[in-house]
Amino acid sequence: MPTLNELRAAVDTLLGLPGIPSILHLNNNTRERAFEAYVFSLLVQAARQAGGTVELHGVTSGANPNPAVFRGAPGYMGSRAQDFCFARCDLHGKEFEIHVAVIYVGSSGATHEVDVSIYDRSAADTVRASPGLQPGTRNLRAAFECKFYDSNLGTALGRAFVGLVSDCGHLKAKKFVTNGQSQGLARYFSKSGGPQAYFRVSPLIADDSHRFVHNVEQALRQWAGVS
Amino acid sequence: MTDRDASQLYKHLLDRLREVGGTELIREIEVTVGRGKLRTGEEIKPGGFQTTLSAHEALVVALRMLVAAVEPPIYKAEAEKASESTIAWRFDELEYSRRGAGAVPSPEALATTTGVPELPSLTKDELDSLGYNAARLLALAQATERELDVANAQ
Repeated sequence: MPTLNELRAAVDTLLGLPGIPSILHLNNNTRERAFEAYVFSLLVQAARQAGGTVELHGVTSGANPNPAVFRGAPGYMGSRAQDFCFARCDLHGKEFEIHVAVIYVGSSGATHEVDVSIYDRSAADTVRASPGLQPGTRNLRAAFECKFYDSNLGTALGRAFVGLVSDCGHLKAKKFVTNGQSQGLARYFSKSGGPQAYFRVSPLIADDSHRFVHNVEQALRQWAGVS
Repeated sequence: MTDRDASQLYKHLLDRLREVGGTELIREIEVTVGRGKLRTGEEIKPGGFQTTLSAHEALVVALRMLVAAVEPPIYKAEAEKASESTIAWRFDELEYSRRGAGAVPSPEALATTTGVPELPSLTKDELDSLGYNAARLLALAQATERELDVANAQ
């Protein structure tokens, strides 16, 4: 077991770094949005690993925007208020897009905020070409709930996500992703047929993030019929 | 490391957080630790599904939450690597109207709306140092947790 002195020194070193005070003052929304952007990058990685091509697009600027603008809060897929970005992908002829913080209309008519989603490209093009049109879940292929580790990480979030995906038709992938850990959530998601849960997903923990990327890659390969 | 050592280190961590202004993280840690954990199997007794964390378990939770709290700049860096561009956050008209701001503003006004997520700018060396030291502390927390699992299994 690590010694008391080793742990104390590591704590003191980390908290003594420049920038730590400002990082610790980040509000919850900022931390959540940063984690969503990270999960987006993992999906991009998964699509590439599956053999697909991935190109970042800005809704107004087109390919390879700089900066890449992410939504600071859930919003409309077709919004041209800012140059919101998305990843345009092609895998074995399957054309799809990866979006962050987009609102969808479920089969019940209720709206749902999906943290990171995979959506058919042709349907997305239609939404962007039709002002006021909201994307329905009929062409939604995958939904990812992203949760930053704080004191609210618990089974209530799991139940909310199960409710969301139940209104989204048949998804190829439905995953709850967090950088934290929760015994209660792990037990809740252990039911078969429900969303899969991934804990401790972080750039600092190679095994857990790699497992998540590999599983998404496999789901994409299966969906696209990659042999 | 004895239980007393673990308790002292837990207190030391919270004291250091207080010194650098991490009062919100202190609150998050205390709420999470205070919630305890689920009893398992034969431990379940009438009237109680939750039990308190041991000193070592509380310390592991605090260490993990500390590491998580400093990760956001690292997430942004990973997303920028995948996007091959810098990243910024902006609101669309929906969020603006949610804030009760009336008519939809111009893109420039939307870009300067307060509360847009923004992370502190770190140099490459600062980011590398943050990643290295966060990973180091996380590895120590994981090692402590593994020892705990072994001890609990016996």
